[in-house]
Amino acid sequence: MTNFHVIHASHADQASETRLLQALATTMQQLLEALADLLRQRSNRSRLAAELAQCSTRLWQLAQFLPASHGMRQQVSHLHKLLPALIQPQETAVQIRLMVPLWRLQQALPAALPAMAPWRKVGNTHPAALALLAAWWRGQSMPAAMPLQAVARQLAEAARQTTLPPPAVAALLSRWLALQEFERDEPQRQCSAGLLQRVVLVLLMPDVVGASEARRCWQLLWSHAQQQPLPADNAVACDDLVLLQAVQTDLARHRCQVLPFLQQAVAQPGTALLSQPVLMLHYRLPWLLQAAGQHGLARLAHLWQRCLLQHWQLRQPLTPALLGQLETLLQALDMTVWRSLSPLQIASAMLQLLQQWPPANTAFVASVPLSTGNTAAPVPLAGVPDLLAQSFTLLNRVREDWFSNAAMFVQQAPLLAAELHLLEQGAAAVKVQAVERFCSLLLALQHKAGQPRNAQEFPAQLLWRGHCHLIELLDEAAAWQDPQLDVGLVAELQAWQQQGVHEPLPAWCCAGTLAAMTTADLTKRLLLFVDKLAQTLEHPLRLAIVINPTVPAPLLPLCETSLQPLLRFLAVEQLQETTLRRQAHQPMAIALELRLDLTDVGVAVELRAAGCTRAPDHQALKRLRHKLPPAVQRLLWRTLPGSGRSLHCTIGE
Amino acid sequence: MNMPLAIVCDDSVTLGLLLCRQLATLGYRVQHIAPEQLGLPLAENPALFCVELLGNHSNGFKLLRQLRRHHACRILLLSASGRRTDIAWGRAAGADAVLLRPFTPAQLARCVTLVEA
Repeated sequence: MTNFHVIHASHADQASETRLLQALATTMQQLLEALADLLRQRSNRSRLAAELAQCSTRLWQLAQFLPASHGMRQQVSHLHKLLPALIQPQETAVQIRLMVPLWRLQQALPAALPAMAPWRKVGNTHPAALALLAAWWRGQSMPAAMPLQAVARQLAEAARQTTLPPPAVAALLSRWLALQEFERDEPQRQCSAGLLQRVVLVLLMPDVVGASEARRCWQLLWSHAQQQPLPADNAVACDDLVLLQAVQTDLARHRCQVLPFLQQAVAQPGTALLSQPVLMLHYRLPWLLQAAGQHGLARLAHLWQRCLLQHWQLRQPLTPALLGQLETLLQALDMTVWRSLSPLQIASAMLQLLQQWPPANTAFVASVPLSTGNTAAPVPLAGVPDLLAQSFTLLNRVREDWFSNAAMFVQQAPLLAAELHLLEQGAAAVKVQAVERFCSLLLALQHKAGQPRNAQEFPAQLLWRGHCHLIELLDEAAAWQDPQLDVGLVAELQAWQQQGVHEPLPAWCCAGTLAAMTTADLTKRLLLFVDKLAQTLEHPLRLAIVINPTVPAPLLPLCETSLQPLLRFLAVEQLQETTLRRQAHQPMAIALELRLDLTDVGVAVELRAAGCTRAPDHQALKRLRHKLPPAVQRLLWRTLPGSGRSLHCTIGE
Repeated sequence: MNMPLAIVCDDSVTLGLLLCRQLATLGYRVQHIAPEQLGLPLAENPALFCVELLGNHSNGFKLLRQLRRHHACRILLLSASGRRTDIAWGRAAGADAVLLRPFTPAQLARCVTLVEA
């Protein structure tokens, strides 16, 4: 009775009307709560009935202090008349029947509440109720799973956050629930459900939906509550609502897909690398948020996208601090919290993200050769994909008939090989190992296929399938997916590439025919040697050979015996530098180039290896000299201007 | 007069919806399909295909090549990543035009006009 005494004391003062109204509102709230308890049957029914009667009387007494013409006084009198019917013992009545008088009771409030405007902001924080509403709106079966009264209470609590009179909203929603429960006409049921979805949207996002649309929704709900049939055209046809529902669907999908990654990353910090689907989801997020009119959040999402991309490119796991921030972003994607997000909070989140920014990858550069033998100016790693995508003119235009026979293939092979070389280097630079490995394999295969062979057929189908698979891998890499090698095809390609390595030497290799060796023979023998060496080292190894035709045939056998130790030495040296080459963004495959020219003092040999500039060990060079025939003179070691090293010597009689 | 059909292939409901609305203003009848529906036979040959490059579970470049094999229509590739790589590789893969997000309705209109030409 405290309120009564306070109001009574100030009765004489007309200025205290506002305080009187406040007391009325409080009492009304108590009354509603008592009614809710009564409906839930949580306490002794007779005690609750007594409490209700007391509340009602108190309300009526309070209203008597208002002028007779005051609208509130009339409304309260009306409520007071309704109450006795409600609090009469009705133990056997269905609970839903009690909700109808409750609705009638609350129905009077919209007219009365404007007078209580200064105090109607009751209980501004009910995130749980809003979250429940949002969850239900997303399609979860909460209303069916929960008792009707509990739902009504949740809705009422959610409604308290709106700028509309909360009890009025609660009453309307309670009424909706009751009607929905007993509606037997399926189309009307559907319309009604659709209407409620829109009402929930209006409740959650009044700023976005717009005042006129909100009014229309409430009017429809009101007429629905009066048991007027809803129009068949889905109640409210509004493009923005359709769009917002689409945004909600996409955001819900986003949350569902990012959450498992986040949970796993939090459970095992430092180990969970960013996955491609998660990266892709964050590419679209800014556009989704912009579509929903959340420009501030869209800016934050855009920043996140760039941050995640940086991690993706560096293959770095997210730090625990970033994971925490990502979780916060995920929570901010809930439409129900958008209204409470201030620009300051978003700016603060952006600042925190910038503080956790990974080191820029622009510091690293990669030397990608534009064509065999020439190296372009170093480009930043981030620029490599652009360079690659713009440099391929042939790869996408390759036709099956190019691989139909050796003659056709030889015409296209040099240009194709140049693009494959570029691709191999580029893939190594950006560490797309599947593409790099497959490219090395194709290069080796095409190199071998381009050589005239007696025993082997031209692998037309194999080359074509290999090329198609390469394009598939590139499509995947270009879309930031992890390229997946076709293991079966790789095995087939490797099997063909290694054919002949273990076979006995062909007739032209026999000692008796060495005197008649030609440059073509020397090439074949050296390639065979390199194939065997690659198999021994278990590492991809390629050799490109250019022999000046003026080199006299009698010197060729001597060249072969001299070159074999050199090739072996350089291959092993390169293999030992694998780590260094990886750090320098160079391919795994060892690519050697051999050039033989005729000079005054004999055959000049230049053997190049790309990717490492370190000079070999002095002792190792000394041991090499001992293994070489005496005809090898002037063994020199040079560092190449780009990135590589070379061995030089002269072979003379 | 029958309006030409444009098919929007995008697994995002929102972005697909927005694009459909923009294409409708350019005089197209629009149909929004998910990438996995691309393999199904179409009731009508579209005049324009709009394919989103970076789908959640799809690869726009592969879809593009698949479309090129089976349809003779114009193909517009859309990219949310804003990378120049997408333009170069998209064109190489067979797109008539590549449009990077964000784009204005005017830019879309210009691009569609170019593609139609």
